[in-house]
Amino acid sequence: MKRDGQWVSYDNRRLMAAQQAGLKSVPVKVVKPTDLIPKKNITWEKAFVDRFNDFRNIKLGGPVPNSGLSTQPSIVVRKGGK
Amino acid sequence: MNHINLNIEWQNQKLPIVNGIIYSDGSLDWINVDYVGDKRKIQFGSRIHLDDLLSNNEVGFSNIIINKKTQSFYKKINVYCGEGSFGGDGFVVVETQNDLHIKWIAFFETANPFEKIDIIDNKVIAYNNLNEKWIFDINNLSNLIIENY
Repeated sequence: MKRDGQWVSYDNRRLMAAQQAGLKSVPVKVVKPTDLIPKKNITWEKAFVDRFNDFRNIKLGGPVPNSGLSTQPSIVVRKGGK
Repeated sequence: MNHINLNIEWQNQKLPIVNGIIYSDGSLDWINVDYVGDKRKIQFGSRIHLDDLLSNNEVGFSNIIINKKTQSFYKKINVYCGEGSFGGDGFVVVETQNDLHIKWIAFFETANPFEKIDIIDNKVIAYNNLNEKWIFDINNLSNLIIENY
């Protein structure tokens, strides 16, 4: 989806996997902010905003900006049961 | 100390981001579910309390999407499954039918979305989009079993 003039991916895991696998390109599906996610009663805009502003992103440095991040995200595994 | 009201959060379609089983009193059995190779590895942690995590700013809330609901009139429960804000999030919520209060929540950051839910005997079985069924024993909730289907 385009946000603030920048293409932003909703699913960074697959992008990262593709990048680590050395793929030069990946297929994408372009969506509009007002489109409903298939089988779900939520728009892509809401899903992006929820994800960008998720507590875990905020803990790791703040909400993801509208235009996304160009840096590789770090992989964090939470362990509990202390 | 800060206090989490699970019922209010649930009404607002928010759930605590944890890995494990949360009980109605806010206590939590932490369970780490990872992959070792292509096999699931389940590690059971100790019991903690959400309020303690909240006081230390170690827990936040995810907006959730409910994907399926089922119910048992015999057990007088409604059971929901769905997903959180991140792609790996999956949850199950069981609430009482008489007052719609939370009985227990299972939330895992590594479950992926749960897309189908069944109640069979004393088991709540949640099916995710990885072709796994996560089996929760109502009599022993932290005894989580994950099988492929």
